[in-house]
Amino acid sequence: MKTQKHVPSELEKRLDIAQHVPSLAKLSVLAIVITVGACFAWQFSKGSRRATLTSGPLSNHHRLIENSCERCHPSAFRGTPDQACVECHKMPEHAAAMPKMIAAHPEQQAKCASCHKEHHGMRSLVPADSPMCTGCHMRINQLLPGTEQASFGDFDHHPEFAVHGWVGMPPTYRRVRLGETTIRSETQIKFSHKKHMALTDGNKSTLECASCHETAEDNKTFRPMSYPRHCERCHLIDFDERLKGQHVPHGKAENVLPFVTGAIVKLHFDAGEKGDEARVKIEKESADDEAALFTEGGGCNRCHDVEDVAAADSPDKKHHYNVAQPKIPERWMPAARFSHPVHRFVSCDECHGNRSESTSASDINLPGIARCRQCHADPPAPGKVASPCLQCHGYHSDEPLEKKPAAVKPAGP
Amino acid sequence: VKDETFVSQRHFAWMWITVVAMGVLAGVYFLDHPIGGRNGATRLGYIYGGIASAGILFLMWYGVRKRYSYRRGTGKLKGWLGPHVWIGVALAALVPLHSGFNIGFNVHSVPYLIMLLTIASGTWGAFAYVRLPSEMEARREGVTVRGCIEQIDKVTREITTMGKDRSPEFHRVIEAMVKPLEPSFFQLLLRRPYRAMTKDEISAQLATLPKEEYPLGLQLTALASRRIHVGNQMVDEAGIVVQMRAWLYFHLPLSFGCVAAVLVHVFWVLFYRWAVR
Repeated sequence: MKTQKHVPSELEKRLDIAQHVPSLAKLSVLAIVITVGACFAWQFSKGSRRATLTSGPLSNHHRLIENSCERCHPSAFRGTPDQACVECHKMPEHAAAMPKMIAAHPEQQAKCASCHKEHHGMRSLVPADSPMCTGCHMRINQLLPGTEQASFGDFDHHPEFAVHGWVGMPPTYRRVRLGETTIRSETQIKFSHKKHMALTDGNKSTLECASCHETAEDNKTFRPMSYPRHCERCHLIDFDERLKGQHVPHGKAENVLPFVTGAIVKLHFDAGEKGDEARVKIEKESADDEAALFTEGGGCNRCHDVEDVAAADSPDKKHHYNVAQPKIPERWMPAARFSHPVHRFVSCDECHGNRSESTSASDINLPGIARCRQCHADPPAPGKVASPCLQCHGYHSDEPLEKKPAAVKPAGP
Repeated sequence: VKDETFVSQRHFAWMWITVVAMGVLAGVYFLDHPIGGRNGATRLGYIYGGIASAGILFLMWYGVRKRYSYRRGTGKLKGWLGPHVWIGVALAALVPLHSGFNIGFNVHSVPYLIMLLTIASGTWGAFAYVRLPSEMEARREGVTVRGCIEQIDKVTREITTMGKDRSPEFHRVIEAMVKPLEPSFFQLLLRRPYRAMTKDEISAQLATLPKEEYPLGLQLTALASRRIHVGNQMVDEAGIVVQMRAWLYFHLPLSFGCVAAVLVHVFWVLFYRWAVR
């Protein structure tokens, strides 16, 4: 009988898992052998070694040399020496400041690959995120002892903006943070935003911001202020009550007297006056008109600071009026990028609201960093524009921030 | 607590310790902003890799303790099972923090893959140890594997006796109805019952018998059915034991495979970093 073959002890044995599978020890050894074998076999199988050993795919452009490990790793499994980078890449200008830092801090062992991390796929080799900067700048006070730069790690802790201006009494010209104290700029022009913005034609404002602040060709900055474009329409320069309709041309101070004299000569000649008597009259009247233009309340003095230099004090022993050249900054913070056109959806008032109360051109009508933080954040925050350092700043420049005063573009004639 | 298990011991103390530790590690991870983004090659990446390796050694040490020094050492073995389970689960989350959530088709991702399989098999084991013993206890109504085997033997002997001096047709019916009860590994693992004959198949078998053996045929059918029933009870009982032990045949080899893969990974990483600097 077949059924008699079933010896109970045999059946009982069959119910034990150990009868069905190899021992745990054997399986464990097998697992180790298979794993190590497979890992090494995979790497050393033809063509797959690079793909399996690399910690990740190369950045887009380096894919051209993805299968030539030795191009960047001259010796097997070595890091990337700077030489390997320089073979193909010129040290660009933006990195010109780095050697100074590296020389100052050999302990940092900085090299190209310290910041330009490869094997992270399509991500650009140029790190656009803040850690590239904050890696050093959050402890810049340790790396550059005595630096005026603040040590901070993100936009939330970025110090208030700073500009160069006149501060205190007696005034000193230095870099000051906005809001720290009253800062006067040296625009050297008499101008009241308040007065000009209040001008109306009926119910309509005569002037709007863009009437004077015209976007420049670079689509980032503004064109310089210019007398013919921005002032002349209202501010023609009269110089003599008898010569209504005649105006002094805007330009150089030394041209004023010849122009005025010419006009007065014509006035007297037309009246039939001649001789020494007329000459004395003409000289006096011309000098008086010139003096009136350059002194308090005059056509020139109205907008410009004028220095009256007596003949005795002048190097050429002649009497001069020195007109201070306006210095209207093109950009207040030259170490930062900012584009007004990009921000066109924000009205001027939202950032420069204080200018409607400004009565002097030396007022600095800049918004503080808190205004920026209303829309910008770093580290990224929901509902805000992610703004790593490089969004506003360039990479190292030769001049440190504190040595950079506002960039002044000469005003037009 | 009466129903306390190694998973829930001391009011889930080990779970909370692990959760808090992972919370701290995750917090530090998100506060770190290394150049080029977070990945295994940053300072924090190396630290977390070290912690994960230490964690693996701790988990492996449990096996050593269990096998070679069951009664020696600090505390009871069961006391060490709680941290084994929770730290094991935590590693599944710690390794992504180590790698900066980078994963790729390369040798560096192999340890994590094997680790996940190890953790999965361990989780299966933890469930088995928590659930199955109580199930076994609940079903213990005098049914034991040994009892089943004895009954099967008894029924088989009865059938054999019944077959004495019977026609060849009767023997053929016995052969068809009384198959060997040798359960396969998967039958035990899945606790799958034996296939019983349908009523039609039984009628077809009985129809082959000579007329005078019909009553005996019906008796035989009843005995064969009883034998299958007891066999099913046996598979069910023995299957629980197999289920409780089978996961270990995955867990232990996988854990050794994981350690081997980690060593390969560390070898390439450190060789790359140290060999030339």
